[in-house]
Amino acid sequence: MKKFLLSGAIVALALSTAAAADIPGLQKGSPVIKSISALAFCPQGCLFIGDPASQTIFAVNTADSTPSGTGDLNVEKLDEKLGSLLGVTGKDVKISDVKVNPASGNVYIAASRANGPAPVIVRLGRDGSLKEFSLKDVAFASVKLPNAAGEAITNMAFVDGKLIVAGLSTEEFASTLRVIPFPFKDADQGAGIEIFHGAHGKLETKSPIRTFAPYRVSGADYILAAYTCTPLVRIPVSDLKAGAKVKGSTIAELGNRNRPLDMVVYTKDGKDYLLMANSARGVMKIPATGVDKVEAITARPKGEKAGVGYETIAELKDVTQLDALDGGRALLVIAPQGGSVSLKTIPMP
Amino acid sequence: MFAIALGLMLAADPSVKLTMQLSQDSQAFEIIGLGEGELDALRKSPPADWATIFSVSVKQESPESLTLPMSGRHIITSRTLRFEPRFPPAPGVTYRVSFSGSKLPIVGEVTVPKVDPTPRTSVVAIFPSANRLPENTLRFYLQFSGPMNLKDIYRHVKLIRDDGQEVDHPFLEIEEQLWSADGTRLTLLCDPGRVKRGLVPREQDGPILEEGRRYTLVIDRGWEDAEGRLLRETARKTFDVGPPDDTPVDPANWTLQSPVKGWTNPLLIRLAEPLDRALLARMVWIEDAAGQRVPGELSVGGGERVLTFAPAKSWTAGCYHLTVDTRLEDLCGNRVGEAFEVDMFQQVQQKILTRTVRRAFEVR
Repeated sequence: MKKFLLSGAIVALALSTAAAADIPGLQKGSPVIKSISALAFCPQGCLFIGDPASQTIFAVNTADSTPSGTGDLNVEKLDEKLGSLLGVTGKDVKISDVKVNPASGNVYIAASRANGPAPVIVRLGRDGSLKEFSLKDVAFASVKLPNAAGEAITNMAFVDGKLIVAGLSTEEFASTLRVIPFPFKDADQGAGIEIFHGAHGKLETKSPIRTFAPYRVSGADYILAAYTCTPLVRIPVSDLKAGAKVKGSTIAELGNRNRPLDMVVYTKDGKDYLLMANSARGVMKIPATGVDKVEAITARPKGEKAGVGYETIAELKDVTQLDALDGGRALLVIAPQGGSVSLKTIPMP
Repeated sequence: MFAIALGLMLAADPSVKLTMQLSQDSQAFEIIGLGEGELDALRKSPPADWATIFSVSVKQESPESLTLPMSGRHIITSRTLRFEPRFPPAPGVTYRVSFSGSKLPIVGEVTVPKVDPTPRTSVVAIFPSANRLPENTLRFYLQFSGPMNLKDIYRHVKLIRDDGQEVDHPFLEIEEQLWSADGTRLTLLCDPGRVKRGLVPREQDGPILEEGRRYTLVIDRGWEDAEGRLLRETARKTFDVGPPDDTPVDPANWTLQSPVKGWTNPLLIRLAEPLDRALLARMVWIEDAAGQRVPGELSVGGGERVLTFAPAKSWTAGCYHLTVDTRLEDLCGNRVGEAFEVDMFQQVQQKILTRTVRRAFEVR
């Protein structure tokens, strides 16, 4: 009996080792994370965690790189479920970020209690199961952000072997974009980059980035950045060099009622689009190729079968988090004022 | 320091009890009164089973909701089975405890007492403190006396015009929120799209502040602090609005009153205009003739128009420099030597440099 169990255990261990991608530059340990304001993934399943309270970025191997299913993910009462782990009721839960692990398709959610930043990371499996992602005895690395006193880490993305981190100062009106090579090197913590934008050709000002999304076109990497003012600009990643002042090219002027919270870039019918969660206007689709008009989707796509239960995207208000589930679908977190929070899958429009 | 111990009988056997301990630095649910045999059996079973045997979960609003057990760890002590949740049991929340030892499964509920609701936290200061602000004021700081609840914070802040009209979404509502490191100071950033000229939001919705009008910033007491109490009172700041300020900050216009050698009297600095409260605290310092920072304390007062620097040791005679980081901003985002909105036809610097400007003064 014992022998059988032992060999079973060995098989299980072998399977789990095969599932864990080999990510360089990490050491075993239990990182202490004080807060989480942003998450990001590398293609092999390395989870990056932005901790503004300790001004540190962590990289953790999730050991979750086996494709885990392709179905839609829809979860009701997500706030209550997260609250259960945190020990509070649903209304006292604050969700900081939601990101899909591209290596497995599982979803990672950073949440905390409304009265304090101590976080928990929860893995939502493609089968709908929710489990805490423990930071005990994991392979990890960390890098402290220099000169980042009082900075909110708003956005991160892994592009071409580097982690791009956008921060917003709590004091100066400053935009910081840092490009941090990965694996993290002690000496190289990423260089600060100042972003300018032009407005109607006359005045240039510094402008913090509110949110950004990476994308690739014609073999080159770009980021699409939504500023705290209005413009949506495209910046080549190759321009993001240490100590540089960078001006992006405006691809859209968003009006005041567009408050971009989250964005992803996707391709449909050979064209690139930006899908943007906007607290006032629902979910919007913007051509990424430089058209000034922003269109809100209102029509139900043609050919939809009756009874599929599809909601028009313009009615999807209160979307607070957005990520690509895969090339053809988006994952939304919907948090209406005073209502319960749900997670929903929609096709890319 | 406080501790709550609640006893709850769980089983038909009155010697088996659930207690919940909650103190400043630790929290635990414990089953006491178990027999040695039972504890031994638990020790022998795999730790993963303990969570199934003794589970604590939050009683949520929706009874049908799948309740996941609380995050935490289980320990078997010499006499008890203990669950230490990662986060302290929250006041007012009911926890459902189920214990299925060798006896029949038992389910019980325990509610953590609510805190004394008497308000304790208040807004102790709002910066800029001046009663007259430029039309293109860029930011406000709200200083609370303690940490606040972080959910949907922006609905508690309103900017009301003299005609009673509320300014629609004047502040950038950033999910990540702009709190100081100790979690007690919030930065409200005025929507730059409406502060800056020539941008679409300003064309659509106008500026946030208009010259010649009067506004009141209201922080309503319904905003709970981190312990669920209301604020002591609703905080208000009323101010008049003057013309926009596009002038860069120029330390050459400041007035310095040099201290005397042998004393610890402070260096007094009068600014030409109020500057940013937070940036003044860290972007101004004193260097001695050798370029070393002089230890001491910088205080900001007089409506953010007066700085005093009190040295840690008495002044020695010599030449000193008041040193200012050029990122120091005024109320409108103008920096040292650089206005907030820069004419494009000026050469925009190609590289960022950390720069300072210096004002020399003598101590005799």
